[in-house]
This record gives sequence, C-alpha cells and structure tokens, in this order.
Amino acid sequence: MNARWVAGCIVALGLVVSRVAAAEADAEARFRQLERDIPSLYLLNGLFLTPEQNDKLAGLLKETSDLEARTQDQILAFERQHANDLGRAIERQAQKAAGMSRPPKPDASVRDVVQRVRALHDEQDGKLKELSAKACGMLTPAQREILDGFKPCFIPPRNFRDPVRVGQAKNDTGFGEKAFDKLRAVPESQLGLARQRALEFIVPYLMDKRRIPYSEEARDQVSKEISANLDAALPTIHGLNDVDFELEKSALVEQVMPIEGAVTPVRSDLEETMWKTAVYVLNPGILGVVRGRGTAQAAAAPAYVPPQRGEIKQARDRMATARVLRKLGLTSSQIGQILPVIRGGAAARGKIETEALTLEKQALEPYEQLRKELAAQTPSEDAEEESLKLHRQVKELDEVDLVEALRPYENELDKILTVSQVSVLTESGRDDRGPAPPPSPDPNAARERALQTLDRVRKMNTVEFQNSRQSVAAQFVESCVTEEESVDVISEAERAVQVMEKARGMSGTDYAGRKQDLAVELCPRRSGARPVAYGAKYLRGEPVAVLARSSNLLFTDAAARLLDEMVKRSPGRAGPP
Amino acid sequence: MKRALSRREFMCRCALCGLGAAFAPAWLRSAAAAGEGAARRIPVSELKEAMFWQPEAGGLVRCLTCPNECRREEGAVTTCRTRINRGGRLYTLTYGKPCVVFADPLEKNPLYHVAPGSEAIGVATAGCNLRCLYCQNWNFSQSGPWETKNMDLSPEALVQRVKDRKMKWMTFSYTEPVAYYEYALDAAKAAKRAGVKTAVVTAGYIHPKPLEELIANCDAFSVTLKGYTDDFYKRIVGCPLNKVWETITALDRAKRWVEVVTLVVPTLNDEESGLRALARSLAKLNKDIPLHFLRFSPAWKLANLPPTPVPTLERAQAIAREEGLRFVYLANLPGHQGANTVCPSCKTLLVERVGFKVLRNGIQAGRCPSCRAVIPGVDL
Repeated sequence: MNARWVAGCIVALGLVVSRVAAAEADAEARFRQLERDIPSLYLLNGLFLTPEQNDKLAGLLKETSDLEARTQDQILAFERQHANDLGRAIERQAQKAAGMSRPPKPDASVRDVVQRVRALHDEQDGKLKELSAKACGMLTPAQREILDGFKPCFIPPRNFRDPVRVGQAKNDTGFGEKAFDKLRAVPESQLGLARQRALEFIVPYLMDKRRIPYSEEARDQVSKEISANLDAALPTIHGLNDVDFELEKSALVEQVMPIEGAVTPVRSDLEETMWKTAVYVLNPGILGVVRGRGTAQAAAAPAYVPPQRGEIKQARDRMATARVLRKLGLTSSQIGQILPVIRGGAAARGKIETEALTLEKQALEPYEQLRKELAAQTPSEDAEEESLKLHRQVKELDEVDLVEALRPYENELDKILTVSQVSVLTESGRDDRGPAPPPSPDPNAARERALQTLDRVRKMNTVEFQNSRQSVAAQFVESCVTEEESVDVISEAERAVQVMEKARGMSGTDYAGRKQDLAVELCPRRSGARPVAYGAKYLRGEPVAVLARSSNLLFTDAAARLLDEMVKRSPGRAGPP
Repeated sequence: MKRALSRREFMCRCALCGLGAAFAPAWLRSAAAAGEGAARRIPVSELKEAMFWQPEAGGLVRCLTCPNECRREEGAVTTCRTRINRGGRLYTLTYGKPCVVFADPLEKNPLYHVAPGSEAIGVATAGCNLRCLYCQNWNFSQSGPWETKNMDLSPEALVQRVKDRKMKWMTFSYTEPVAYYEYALDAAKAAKRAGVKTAVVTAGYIHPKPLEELIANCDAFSVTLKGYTDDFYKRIVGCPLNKVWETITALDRAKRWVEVVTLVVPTLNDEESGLRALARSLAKLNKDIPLHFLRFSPAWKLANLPPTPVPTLERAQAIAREEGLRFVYLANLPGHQGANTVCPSCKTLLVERVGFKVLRNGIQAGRCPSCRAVIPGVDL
C-alpha cells in the first residue's frame, strides 16, 4: 500500500476526529450560553429599559465581554507557561504519595501558580462588581424593584396573577392557599390527619423555596417551625367564614409558611442583587439585542462566543484530582485496586455525558427559536414548552441520572479505601450553604498509627500477643473512627487481628516490603455505603442527592489516566489483586 | 428518565380520548341544564327582584338593565345568566352572593388618579352581559351562579368588612357589575352612608337610567373601551360600540371621575389610525380623562394570538398624547416608565409605579409640587 496514501488517510481521519470534537464542544458551549441568554432576556424584557438605558447597558456589556476575554487570556497564558512544570509537580507528588507514609509538602511552584490564578479571578470579580454597581445605578426605582424581586429560573411559570413574567413570582402564595382551601374542606374530626398530610407537602416545598440543603436535622427544624405556625393558625383557617377567609388567606399563608424563614441567607439582599446583575444583566450574550433596542437601533451583532473555558477547566480539574489523590495517601496496591473502579465510573459518566450532549444538540434549535422570540419580546407558549421540556431533561441527566450512575462506583471505592480515606472524599460533598463539616481525620495519621501498631505487635512474644491482640485491635479501630462514620467496630477489630497475625507471620524482608499495604489493610473500612449527601435542590418535592466533589474529579478519564501513570511509575508496580 | 408508552397503552389512551370527546358535549349540556334547573327551584322568597324590567304579554319579562334587553319566558335566564323570570317577574340570582372577594390596590383596575397607593375590598359575582373572546376571567364571567362557589355577603356586611380593615374604598371588579347591578347599587348606597367610597370597573354596556343611579352613588369609574369600530365590538365583544361611548360621555357630563381602558389586541384593534381615532374622540370629550393601554395576554377563545408587542403599546401611548390626551398610561407593564404619572405642564415625575405598587407619590393636595398645576382625580 502506498505509504503516502496511508499517511494522508491518517491525517484526514485525525482532522475529522478533531473537527467533530471541536463541533461538539461548540454545541455544548452554545447550549450553555443559551441557558444563560434565555433567563437574561426575560429579565431584560421585564425591565423595559429606555433606548438611552439600552445604550448605557450596551457599553457595560462590551466592557464585561472584554474583561472576561482578557482575564481568560491571562489565565490561559499563565497556565500554559507553567503547564509542564505544573504537570510534573503534580504527578511527582501523587507518585511519591503512593510510596510513602506521609507525602511531601506541596511544591512551592504549584502553590504559587494556584495563588496567581486565584488572584486573577479575584481581580476579575472585583471589576465585575464595579460594572454591576454601574448597571444597577442606571435603573429607575421601579426597575430596581423588578431586579430585586427577580428570582432566576429558566422560563418563568405562567401565572395568571402576573401576566408579565420575569422570573419566579416573588411572593407566590398560591401553593399555600390551595393547601389551606383543602384544610378548610375537611371535617373537624379528620383535621389531625389532614394537618399531617399538609405538612408532608408544605415542608419540602418550603425547603426548596428557601434553598435549604436537605438533611434530616434541617427537615426536622423546618417541620417544627411550620407545625407550630400551622397549629396556631388552624383554628382561624378552619373557623373563618368564607368571605373573611378569602380576604385573609394570602396573609395567613405568609404567616404560616414564610419564604424567608429562620435560615440565614448565603448572600445579603444587596449581594444577591449584585450577583443577579453580574450573571443575568451583564451577560455579553445579549449585547446584540441590547444594541438593537438602543437609540441607534444597531443591526444584530454576530452571536457571542464565550471564552473557551475547556482548557482551563481541564487543567484545574487535573490539579484538583492530583490534590485529592495526594490527600488520600494511596498505597501502590490500592492504586491498582481502585483503577478499574475509576475506569468503570468514568465510562458511566461518559455514557451520561454523551446522552446529555445529544439532548443539548437537540435543544439548540428550540432554544434559538425562543431566544429569537424573546429578542422580539413575544415568546410563544410552544417555544417555551419545547425548550422547558429539553431543559428539564438535561437537568435531570446532570443532577439525578449521573448521581445514580456513579453511586455504585462510590460504594465500590468505599470498600477498598479506609474509613479515613473515605472521609477525605466526602468532606467536600456538602453544599456551600450547609454548615461547615467537621475536619476529617488525616488518613496518613491513621496509617502511621497502623504502622506503629504492626511494629509493636511484631515485637510481642506469643503469650503477650494472644492476651492483648483483641484489645490492641479494638483500640486501634476505635481510634480511627469518628461519630459520623458507620463502622462495625467488632467485625473490623476481628479483621484487624487477622492482619496483625499475618504481619507477625512474615519474615523481616517481606514485612519491610509490604508494611505500607499491611498498614492500609489494618485500617478499618466502612460497614455500609457512605451517607447520601444532599444539596439545596428539590425535584418533585424530593431532595436531590449530590455527588461529592471528589467523585466529580475521580470518575473521569483524566483521573484514570493519572492513576495509570502512577501505576506504571510507582515502585513495586502493583496491579489489581 | 420516563419510559415511553407502549403501542397498546397509546391506543387505549386514544380510544378513551375519543369516547370522551364524543360524549363530552352532551354531558356538558346536561350539566348546564341541570344548573339552570337548580336556579328555577330557588324559592322566590330568597330572590331579590330586579330593579329595571317590564312585564310583557304572555308572562314574559323584558330586562331593562342593559341594551341587551333580554326578553324571557317563565323560568328562563337572561344572557348575563344572573336574572330569571319567575312567575312573570324578573329576579336577580346573585344578590349578596359573590364568587370572588378580594383586597387589591386600586391601581389594579386600573385607576391611577384615585387615591394612589390605596387598597380596596371588592366583590364580583358570576355572569356578564358580554362575551369578549379574550376574557381573562371567563371562568367566572361566562358562568351562571349555579356553576360557581358563592359566598354569602350582604351589602351591609361588605361595607362592614371595608370599615373593619380601615379602608376607604370598595370596588366592583373582575366581572361585570351590570350583571349584579342591584347588589352593586345597594352596596354602593350602604358604603355612601358609611363614608366609604365606591369604584366601578365596567365595560359600560348599560342603559342610561341604571347608569344614573350608579352615578349618583359611586365615586369613580373605570370603563373599558375595547376597540374603535362597531365591527370589532360586534365580532369580539358581542355588542355595539355606540352604547359604550354614551356611557363614557354620560359619566363625564355628570362630572363623575372616569378613566378609560383599552386592551390592545394584535391584528384586531392595534391599527394606528384606529387608535388615533379613539384617542381623538376621547380628547374631544375631555383631555383630562386618563387613558390606559393594556397589553393583551392570550386567553379563552383568543389563545392563538400573540401578546401585544411592547413597541405597539409605546406607539399607542405616543399617538394618544399627540391627540391631546394629558394622561396616557401603559398599565400592565411593571417596570415600564409608561405607568408613571407625569405633570402634563412641567413634566415633573409625580407618581412612580411598578405594577400595582406605588413607589412614590409626589402629588401635593391635588397639585404638581413644581408648577402647582392641578392634577385631576379623586383623593390624590
């Protein structure tokens, strides 16, 4: 076969593959941008800016777009400049961690790069805040009222009371009013049961509206609050005549189930407005629409292409993945064991992402149509329904299906890792709005104690070991467990005794070569799956489970490749058992 | 992710839908007949006799409340569904029986020159003497009182509710007060005795004599002038245009406060020439009558039309101002500057609104604080 022809085919194939990959990345980027543009346009349409205000906003949008592009260029350039150093430093750390009881401190160069990137982002945030303040400053009090009350959602629900839809209704008492209507209709003898039933609906509804991350404690707290309020209001709800109930019901709803409850909001009102302005008003994607509504009524600008974040995100994720691996302090044997689990999880993620990408591509046409209609300020019900359907499907894939797909792999990982290592993985699994988790125990400290325990039992004589092995094992297991973990101490202590016996039975050379693995084997394991973590999102009244941030980093092709490298380069080159 | 329907499930659902569609009209007709039948069985002692009607030969009655002048035999209900011939006399079915009771800002009606920032308690009953194809409240207005869940609220009890809440205004809104005329009038009289003022939100399709009584007892009117051609009125609303103009003219001549509201419907009444003619006629009558342009939202039998484009409304506002009207508003565009009251003389911003909420009211004793121009209205 002609070598030149073959080479040509390979090059062409490479070009096609890279073009396809680029097209897919473009489709995804366009989808994400449209998901931002659509709520932005609802808000813009609801603000009714004058032509002069549109001119001012166009200027601010241009500044925002330039700022984003400039910051991204700076970060990319900086990371590219240090990419090789970074890559090597990270991999070195991960590899050393595999072979040592305590990994080396992070390289200064890695720390410097991370800090520099963070500083660039902080600088951008500061400038964005200034632009947000300027945008808010040009609004009239009426427009500011609209912005303050704006609750972002993809497509505002159709609400007969408010035909001009900007976002979710600020103080929509409709849900509560329906619940109270039903309570009124129930005879006195069945009120207790009806009250309980009402609480089952009201509590998750309110947790969703207040954006409270789900936990049993949070649910009980809200339930207690609403129970007390409902009990106080029930005689009124049930006892008022029809006329007075009609007049009082929305006030009653606000009294019984206030949206702003006992939970301290993450952001103050002003910060919230600034954030909404930055995300939805200063969205460079709507620059063309804004220009068209200005005094000059400029012609439509080409579609906005956001700065490509893919490369930066990949680099950042690689760094974060390596940091997690470093913290875990994996032995080379553990690396070999978790690698197939990581690959399996990455494949499962890949399947969901492929499905999501198909839906995102499908969504582009209806989204573009809706965007066009919003730009003309006449969104049709058909375009909204079609877009909302696809939006929900993608959201469900990302938020529900992905979690369900990866949970089994998390459970597999938890069987291989020690309880302290699993705590490292779960510590970043909570929503930012939740309470700060207690600091997780250091897995390397647990492993050091395990080594000391093994060294100690190897030095014992037979009688001493026979007499003290149970207590030594139990003490060690208990020292590794915090209140949060689910560990069957008795079973783990028995297993620990077996490991200690194995260690005592080895020759000095064998023990020296395998003591890191034995130490990890000695550390206790979880007796059940790790507890499900929830964020502040609810789907059909049920809290949505979230993945730990570590799972989002580990179950990826990038993590699998990093572990592969570690397996190849680590001393003793252990593979799966 | 939800699973797809199987072929069998799909066919079964189609069959059920087909059966439903085949039998639904008959079922609905029988349900309506049963409802009207219930109205015929209410003891006469529980009904209030209508005020404006005349007996006719053969036991018929002719209602004289509105120009429909429904002529009905024994047991038959009028077009508005709120009056019935019982024993050769005409009775109202909705006296003291509202299906809606509410507390809303007066701005919602819209009434922008009446006690800005005030709330009012109001009532509405089932029924309406018109058939506007885009009615937002069709589930009340196009129903008879036998089809709605009604409350017991006498005129005196209504007024007492207003006073209990320390409010100064009462309104008749949501559905057409002409349909519950006797209830509205008695409530207005009771309010007047108690020092409470009344606002009426009406389509204005009413005979002069009943209107006179309302004028004598009510304090402010919001009249919907739905279009500018007779053809539009007959096709979309179900009545002639001239009667509504007569009502607006009568109110103005009687020096009763009136604000006019026009819902701009794309393709039906949004032509510039028509809007200009409407504004010109109104300005000829009285330049101080506030005119509100509302944005159409697809509803009921006109759900296929799009919402009114905002530029159309802005143009309508500009045209109306060009024709000399001094107060022209875009009333249901929260956040739009078109909802604000501006002094027609010196252009000072007087009242700033967002939706139904008054953010700031700068009018001082009925005058502009800058140039002292009189700002017409009630309780400003």
